[in-house]
Amino acid sequence: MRLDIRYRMQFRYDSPVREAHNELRVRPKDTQGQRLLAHRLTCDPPCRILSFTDYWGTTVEHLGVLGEHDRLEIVAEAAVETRDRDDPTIVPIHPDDGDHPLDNIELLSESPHVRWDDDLRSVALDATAGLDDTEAKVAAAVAATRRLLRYEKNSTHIGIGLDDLVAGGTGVCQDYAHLTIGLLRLSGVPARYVSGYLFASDETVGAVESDGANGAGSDGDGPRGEDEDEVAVQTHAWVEAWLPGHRWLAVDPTNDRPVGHNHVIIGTGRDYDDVAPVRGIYSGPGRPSVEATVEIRHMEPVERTMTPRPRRPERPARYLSSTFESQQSQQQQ
Amino acid sequence: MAPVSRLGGRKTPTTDSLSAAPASAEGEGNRARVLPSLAMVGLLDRYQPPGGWDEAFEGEGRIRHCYEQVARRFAGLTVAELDRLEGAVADEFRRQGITFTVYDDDEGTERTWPMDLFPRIIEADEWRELERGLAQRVIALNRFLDDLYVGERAAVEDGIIPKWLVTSSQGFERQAFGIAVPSAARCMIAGIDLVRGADGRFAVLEDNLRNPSGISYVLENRAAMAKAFPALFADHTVQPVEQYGQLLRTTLEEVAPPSAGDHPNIVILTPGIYNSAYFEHAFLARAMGVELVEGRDLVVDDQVVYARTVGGLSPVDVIYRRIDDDFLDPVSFRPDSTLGIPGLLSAARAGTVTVCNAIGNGVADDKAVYPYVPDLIRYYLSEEPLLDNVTTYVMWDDDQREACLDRLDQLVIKPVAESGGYGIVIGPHATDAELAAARANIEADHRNWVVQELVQLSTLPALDRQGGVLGPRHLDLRPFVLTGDRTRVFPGGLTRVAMRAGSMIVNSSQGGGSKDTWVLADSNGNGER
Repeated sequence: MRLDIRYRMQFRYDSPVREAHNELRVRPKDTQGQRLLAHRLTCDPPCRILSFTDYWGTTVEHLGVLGEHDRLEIVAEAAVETRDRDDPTIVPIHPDDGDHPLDNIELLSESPHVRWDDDLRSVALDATAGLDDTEAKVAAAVAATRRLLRYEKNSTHIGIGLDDLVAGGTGVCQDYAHLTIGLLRLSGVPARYVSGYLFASDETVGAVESDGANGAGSDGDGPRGEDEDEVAVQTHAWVEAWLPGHRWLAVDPTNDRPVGHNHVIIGTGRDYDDVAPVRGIYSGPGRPSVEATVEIRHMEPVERTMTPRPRRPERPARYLSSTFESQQSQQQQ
Repeated sequence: MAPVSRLGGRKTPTTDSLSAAPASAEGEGNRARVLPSLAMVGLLDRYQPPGGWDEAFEGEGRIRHCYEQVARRFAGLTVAELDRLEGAVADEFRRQGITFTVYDDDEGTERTWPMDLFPRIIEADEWRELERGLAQRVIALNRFLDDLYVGERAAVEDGIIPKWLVTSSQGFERQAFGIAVPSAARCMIAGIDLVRGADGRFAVLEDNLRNPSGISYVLENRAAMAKAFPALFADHTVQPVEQYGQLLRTTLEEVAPPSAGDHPNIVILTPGIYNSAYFEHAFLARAMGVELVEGRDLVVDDQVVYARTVGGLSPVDVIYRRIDDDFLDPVSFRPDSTLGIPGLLSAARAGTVTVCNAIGNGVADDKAVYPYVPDLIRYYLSEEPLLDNVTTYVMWDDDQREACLDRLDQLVIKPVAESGGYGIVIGPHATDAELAAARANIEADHRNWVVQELVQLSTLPALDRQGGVLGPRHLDLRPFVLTGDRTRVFPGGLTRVAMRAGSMIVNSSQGGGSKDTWVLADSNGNGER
């Protein structure tokens, strides 16, 4: 499926700021199951953009604006071709990822947004008690997460601890992902956070609703087909769990639907912090209001086939486009 | 002789002749050579090394050759004289603000730098051996860091060091991934802590590859020593240390980005005057003739770092930073950091500025990675390590752990990511409660603790005011190794000495003192002034 994605972020300051730096992780990854066809990043006021691949293989774009300004607009556009995987849930593992659970110790340990206490440990052990099969554990962790949380927009903030999250009982996609990851790690299953885009009018439904409700109301009638052309959403988050035998199992606990051609991956990491769509700071007296929107447009019929791409045995290649070549080569000095 | 005050020379009753003496106690008459003899007199006549290796004395009270003159000179002093000289040195240090800070319950206490006057001497041929071993080790560690952050991670892929150990290290900075450094020198300034055990062999106790401090004290100790005992320097060819600033500058120029041209703009980045090593930061800026700056003095524009000056923005090529990784750049690290420079990592990544030491070196001086350093030397250099490690046990290995827990009271327990001697438990000196706590800590987190055999540190005479003699005190040595285009070992280093008899804790933050460290020039006059 061909999707055009437009990520737009607008900062407005009530009085001018002198300096602003932002690190963006919004560009779709070129990887199995999706192909990045084109991309463009613009910034107003204009500035030089440094683009690089981080430790986790995600493309990062750094923008620094020096000089007084009272608004800053960043627009990242990308065209992606996605497809359902042969097995819709299995992402082939990268050779770097190792074949021993300890090799993924980063994804088994606590991380800034995934910290646990004894209560959560009990929840995890109860949920996966008696299960030997990792896929079954994953399903159990997703089910437990969906029992513990009820979806409610704007009910939480980034940085909430898992204990407060469970106590509050509500959350959004990041929270569903963090809690599932925590339960998996506590059950001995390495798990990573996936940041991306979901072509769906509502992330709890995981598909596009034909009434074009644009995400309003999560208690809709469920998936009703995929005939909508455009949705306005936010970035989405889901989970990949490590399976013995070089495979990652992708699951979307927010809607419990298969991860497939509606999901566009930006990148993966230990938790939100490693793949936050934007990290930034500014200096100056002004206070910002930030508005971020994602528009995803379905461009072509679903039947269009993709050219098969050979699997790459080495690390994910750095993705160069003519637009960013100069910045890339600068990075390699 | 009556015991004198521990607190310094001022309180010492002085005789008329002494109070009239110059700052140096070496009048012409005192310089007369005494014939070598086995028996020491005066301050050294009751000197009894506790067993193990004594730097100055062989068995049966025989002085090692290189210490003969120094030992005689000191044996001939009275405690009052020595105490007065130390008091004069301390006063001078205090006047110049040569201090360090001891942190206790978040409260910093400023103390004058403690220096014991009896110098540590290393002979030329022994130093050459050390030099080779230190250079070898730092070259291998630099290869390892380069491999991890910009290379293929070959040592991990080839199983020399476990991947999980690297990725679970607190010092492994994912943000540094892909940031290359000119000359592949990621650790430009290393401080390697050496100890000499009972067998007389030097071994590496730990590596300091992030922000090793202490070099300013090396230079200050030398200046103080030269003032107190000028004649001793006339009798020895001691390799100089005053050129450190020039050597550091050369090193930093060598790692400047190619865009910097012939005269790179170098700055020292300090957290500010409240940092315990601020004195050293200012000292090094002066010694190199470069600006001392704080984060707010620098700004990044289009991936170039500039210093704000009265004349406008001036590009910066090399930043010798003395602040921790976590505080360097609030965009990539702690967003609450006010010490750093927003966008600095983008400039480092773009290759317009070199950050010294490079970001993420903590993974290589992680004490749980240390046991692998000899293998890393073999792997990267195809050489046998010239310097030994102290025997170290890793706690994630069940057999090693069980064996250690059986005799924890004989061993040393160290947290892997601390420095400055904080958190170390020395088995034979620990209470039952401390040992029980150490055991619980180890069992709770195998990754976070290592256990080492206790090294009986070598001893050297130091002034024991209460005893009114020169008594044996344990010491270590921190040489500094600089890497730019090539790796250079600076002659000598910081000798740290435990001030209490029997104590093995030499860290200044734990009440240790220091000594001037002499590397003698060889007979060819190499290194002579």
